Amino acid sequence: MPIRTDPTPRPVAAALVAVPASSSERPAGSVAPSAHAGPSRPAGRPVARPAPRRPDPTITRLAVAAGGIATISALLAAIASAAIPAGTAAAAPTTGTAATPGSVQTIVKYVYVQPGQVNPGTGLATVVTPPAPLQAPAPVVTRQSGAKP
Amino acid sequence: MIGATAVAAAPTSPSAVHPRAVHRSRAMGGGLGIHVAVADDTALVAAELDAARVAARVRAWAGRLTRHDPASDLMRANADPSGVVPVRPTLAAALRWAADAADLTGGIVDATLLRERLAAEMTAHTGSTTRSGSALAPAGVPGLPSGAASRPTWRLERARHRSAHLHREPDVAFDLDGVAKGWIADRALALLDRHPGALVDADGDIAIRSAEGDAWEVGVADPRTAGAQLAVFVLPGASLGAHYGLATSGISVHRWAGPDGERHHLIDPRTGRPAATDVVQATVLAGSARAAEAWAKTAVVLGLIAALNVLDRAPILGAILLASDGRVLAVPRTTRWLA
Repeated sequence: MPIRTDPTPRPVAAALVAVPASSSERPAGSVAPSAHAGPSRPAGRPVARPAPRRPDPTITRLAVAAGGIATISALLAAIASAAIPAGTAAAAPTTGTAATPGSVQTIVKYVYVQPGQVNPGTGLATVVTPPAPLQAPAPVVTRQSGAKP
Repeated sequence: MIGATAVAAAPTSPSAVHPRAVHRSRAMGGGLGIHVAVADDTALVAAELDAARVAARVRAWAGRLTRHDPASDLMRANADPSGVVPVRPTLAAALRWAADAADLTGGIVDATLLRERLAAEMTAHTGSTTRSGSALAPAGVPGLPSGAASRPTWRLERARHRSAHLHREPDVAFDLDGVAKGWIADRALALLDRHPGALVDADGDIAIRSAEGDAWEVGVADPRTAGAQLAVFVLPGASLGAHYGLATSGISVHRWAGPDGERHHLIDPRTGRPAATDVVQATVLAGSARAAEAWAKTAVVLGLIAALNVLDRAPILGAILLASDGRVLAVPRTTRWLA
């Protein structure tokens, strides 16, 4: 979302202040001298009420923008960390001539479906459950297209 | 394309509680099996007739989508030189799924690789190949290439009566292998929804609806030994019918010798060549046969470690991979579904 940086006061805020006709040449948003007139002025004469003092909108907007940037950065960091699935770890190579600077190993999880199979020791995989026993053949088979059932 | 048909009583599965009618025939260059679970034996005859009717529909769909018949809707569209081609509803629906599958898999499943596949087959003798499509973008999504954004060279515009207009660049030619069988299995299964449960086996890509209290057992073929199975899935039912899809892709059946070694039919869209992979075969269990087919092909193309990494996060129920070193590995959550 774009952040407003235009310091021009909002028109609706300026309209809340009654301004003498002579003040039309003043910069918009400036406060007329008559606004500080005391209570001895004749009744019925338009009296300009003092405009409420407001902080510089530029500073406020810069502060809001900084806060927004910080919030978005925190959200992005949280999303990035959540995108790494459980069990996946990035680690620098611990040894190696085979490791190139900056290379990253990804640990993936899998199970061996057939008994007796072992991890070949590549360091890329972790066995997370014992192998499941092979059962009796089923009457329906999924296979590569063109393969004989 | 059309083979002999037979209607037979189903072999009783240990997990089956409903009687099942079975129709077996040939379609899509392979075997077609349609299994229908019925409430009782009196419904078997009607189920057998339904199965035969659905088998005829399957053959009709396959006939429109095959690349092996110049008169098919697919090949007529491929042969049409114009940039905007009217396509009939079956081809339009299959192409829509092809586009979805490409998005789902980061562009790994790409139905526009006909020229690359034919070139690979021809270079079994010449030893060279070229790629006419655009290269995929570098990987962006973890584990998957972000190629879908760079590759669209075609699109469908809906027309009347579920047909469409195909807009494409001149060199785009479609090959629906790897996309159509699962889609056909799902579509056929939907025609059997008046029965408690059903299974459609479209040459190894399988769509299943399992009724409450029932279960379907499906084995995973071991391509190294005829008749052997790597594992057996048991797929239980639910009150409204649980839907499953199982599909297997691999490089051990369609392969041939080339001047630079053995080649196979699964093209990696990132290179335009047969995928350099250490996955011999991938079987995926998902919520539909078409999704299972897309992910199985993706797993083979990506290779073992990348495939395990991607499948662990993919919207699937499980996957079993046969590695080139003989190991049989599964994504951990697969074990829930194994016998």
